[in-house]
Amino acid sequence: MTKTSVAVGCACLAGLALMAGALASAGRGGATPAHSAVVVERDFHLAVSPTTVAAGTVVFHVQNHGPDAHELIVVRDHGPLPLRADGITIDEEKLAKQEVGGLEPAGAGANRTLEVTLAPGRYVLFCNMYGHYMGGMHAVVIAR
Amino acid sequence: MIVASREFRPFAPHARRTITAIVVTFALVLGASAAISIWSTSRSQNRAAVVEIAGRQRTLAERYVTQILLVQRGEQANPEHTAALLAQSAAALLNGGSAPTVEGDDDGVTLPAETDPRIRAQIAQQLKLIHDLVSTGSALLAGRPVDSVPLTAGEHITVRDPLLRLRVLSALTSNVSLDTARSIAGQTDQNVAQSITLQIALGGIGVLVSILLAWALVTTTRRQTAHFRSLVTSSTDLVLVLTAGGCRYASASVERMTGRPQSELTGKRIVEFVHPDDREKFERAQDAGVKELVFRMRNAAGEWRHLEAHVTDLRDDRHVRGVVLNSRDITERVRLEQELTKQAQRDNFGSQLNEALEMADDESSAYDVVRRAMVEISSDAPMELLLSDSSRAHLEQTAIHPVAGAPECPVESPYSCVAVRRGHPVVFDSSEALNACPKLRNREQGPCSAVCVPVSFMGRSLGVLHATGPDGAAPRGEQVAQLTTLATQAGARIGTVRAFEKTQLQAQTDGLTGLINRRTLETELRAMMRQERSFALALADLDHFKKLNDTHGHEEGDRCLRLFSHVIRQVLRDGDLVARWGGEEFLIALPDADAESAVEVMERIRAHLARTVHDGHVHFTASFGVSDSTSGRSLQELIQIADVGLYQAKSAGRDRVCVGVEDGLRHTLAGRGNGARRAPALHQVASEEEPHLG
Repeated sequence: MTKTSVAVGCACLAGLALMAGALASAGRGGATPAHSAVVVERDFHLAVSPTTVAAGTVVFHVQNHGPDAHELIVVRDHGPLPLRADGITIDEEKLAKQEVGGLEPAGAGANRTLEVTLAPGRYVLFCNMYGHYMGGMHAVVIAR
Repeated sequence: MIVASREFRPFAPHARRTITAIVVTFALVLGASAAISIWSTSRSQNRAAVVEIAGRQRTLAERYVTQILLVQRGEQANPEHTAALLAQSAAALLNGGSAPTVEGDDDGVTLPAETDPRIRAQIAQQLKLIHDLVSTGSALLAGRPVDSVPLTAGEHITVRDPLLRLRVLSALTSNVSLDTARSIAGQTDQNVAQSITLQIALGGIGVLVSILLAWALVTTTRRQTAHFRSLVTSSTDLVLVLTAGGCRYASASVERMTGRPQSELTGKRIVEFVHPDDREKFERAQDAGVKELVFRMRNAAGEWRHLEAHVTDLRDDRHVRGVVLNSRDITERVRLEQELTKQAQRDNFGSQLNEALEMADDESSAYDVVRRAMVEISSDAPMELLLSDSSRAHLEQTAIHPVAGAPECPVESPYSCVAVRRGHPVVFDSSEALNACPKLRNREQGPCSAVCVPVSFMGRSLGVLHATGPDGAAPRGEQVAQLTTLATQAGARIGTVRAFEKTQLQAQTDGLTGLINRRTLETELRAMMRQERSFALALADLDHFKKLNDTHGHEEGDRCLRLFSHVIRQVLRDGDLVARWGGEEFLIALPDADAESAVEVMERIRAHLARTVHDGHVHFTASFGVSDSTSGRSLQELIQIADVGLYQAKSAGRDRVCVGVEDGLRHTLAGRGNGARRAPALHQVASEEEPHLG
């Protein structure tokens, strides 16, 4: 088997996988949105699954994979988040009206839940520990 | 289920063992606590430096960015050195070793390698961030595009401004350093908390164990005290504490002993219950040197109890302050000793009586001993010994009290006596009682008490020993025992003497005629000869006795012999002796008589025989030969001379009396020759020395 044929085979497999994923997404998209989502935090990334949830009471299952401590803040997305004077951290005081919930910092290995009531719309989830937001720890969730 | 019973050991040192256990527990707890403290301290001793270095990283990261900016502005700064400090400090935190000093801030310190996996991951992340920070800073200073610098710590920085990008990395490094410092501090706090918890737990366990042991000690002590209390309260021993003011304490047993409450008996009153004769020594028990005290105390029933007290002087003991009398009731022991003494006296009486009776060789001697024994038993009680005669049908008074006289019991035959019938002693308290012996009633001397002891020998009743006393006060215990001993031993001795006399009589008499036998007569004659007493001898022989036997039979012959012996006895005086000498021959001895008077006596016998046989009996006659003690020197010779006289009488026609002479003896012996008559040969036998009879 030549290298070309291996590459073609891999491409085919990848294509099949993408198609399966698309079908699955279409299936999920067609179904009723979930009332919970899993939020995985790690240095320095924040992933939410699914990214679309049902409006109303939503439970986020927050897992910190570390190695450092992280917090979680959920705010209604009304455009760019305001920064403090340090230019690095989000100015939470200015987001008080937009904030729908949050969790204090917890060390690696922590598994917590955050129950929030989401009105239909777009929400940003982020960790506002020093440098973490700018380091990449933020994600978007749509409530429908 | 088998439950092992706990052994009661009131003097076992429970308390010492328990206290030792408590001390050991405390020592163990203290030791463990100290070990935990040392271990905890050793774990925490470098943590402050570690926290400081971890916290210092945040400052260094920010300083590094400042120095980059200074360099960009053309001012003097050394960001590389700061970068090196950051990297070396992180490495020292992770793997241990020397952490570098920061100018003017602190001294160098050697750190231990981090062992906690979570903290190690944080430090490793910090190392990556330092690397990314320094790489970005270097690119910035070198004028290279910073967004192309590869990031290794998982950052997803989207800003493109180089300085902001550097500041974000600095912020991440700073934050991670702070987080690491917090983790290290938190772990230290956790260690301290664990240590404190462990020490509290140890202390708690120690206190708990000590409380349990103390409880066990208290329980044991209580139980021991309860045991002692029950021992003291249930004991019959009496514990008294005497002071100068009287009895200060009396144990519970005093209530049982006196029948009065314990409280009433403290003070002076206890002495009232002590025997008057013992009061002085009881009150002087406090004198030094008194170790043992025996006194009597009256109990609730009015009985005097003998107490033996062990005296302990505890006046110097502040817990007692008195003399302790530990008294034990020894009444039973005293009674037993008294009983043993009486028994010994009784044994002594019995022993002496036995020896005395053994020395009595006839009945009268035995009666004498009995009389003396009566006085030994009582000096004033009338007594009498009534024994049956040979017919065993009548009782005769054989011995009476030499001083007090006889009770004069009217019993006549052995089996009329209730004591004889029952076979054991009978005591009558009063002759007037319903169950009194009827023979005691209506006595001239008035009412009396009595003891009747049967006398027996080899199971055969011999009679009864009577003793009387005042009415209603019959002899008791000791006297009855002594009377019994007297009756038993006297019965045994008198029975033995009677049996011996009967046997002796049987040995001394001829069974057919009842006359003494030849050997007995010879013994008597020898005795008279030794006493040089004169006497006459007559040898009698039935005439034609062989023919009589042949004609009328042996039974008739025996009857004639009995008749002849009867006739002889009728004629003879009381002191005269007659023996059947053998066959139809009889030897008659007349003490203090000579041959002449003997001839007269023999003639009377001959005449009386003639009269007797005339009255319808078979007719027979007898011939007599006479000698006296003047005729010869030896008994043998005297008998032979009498035999000569008999020979002469036979020769002269029989039925006559002839006096033998010494000359005739020689002639006769010569004429008859050896074996002509049996008499000499028989006489020879009689000459043998007779054994002395007791």
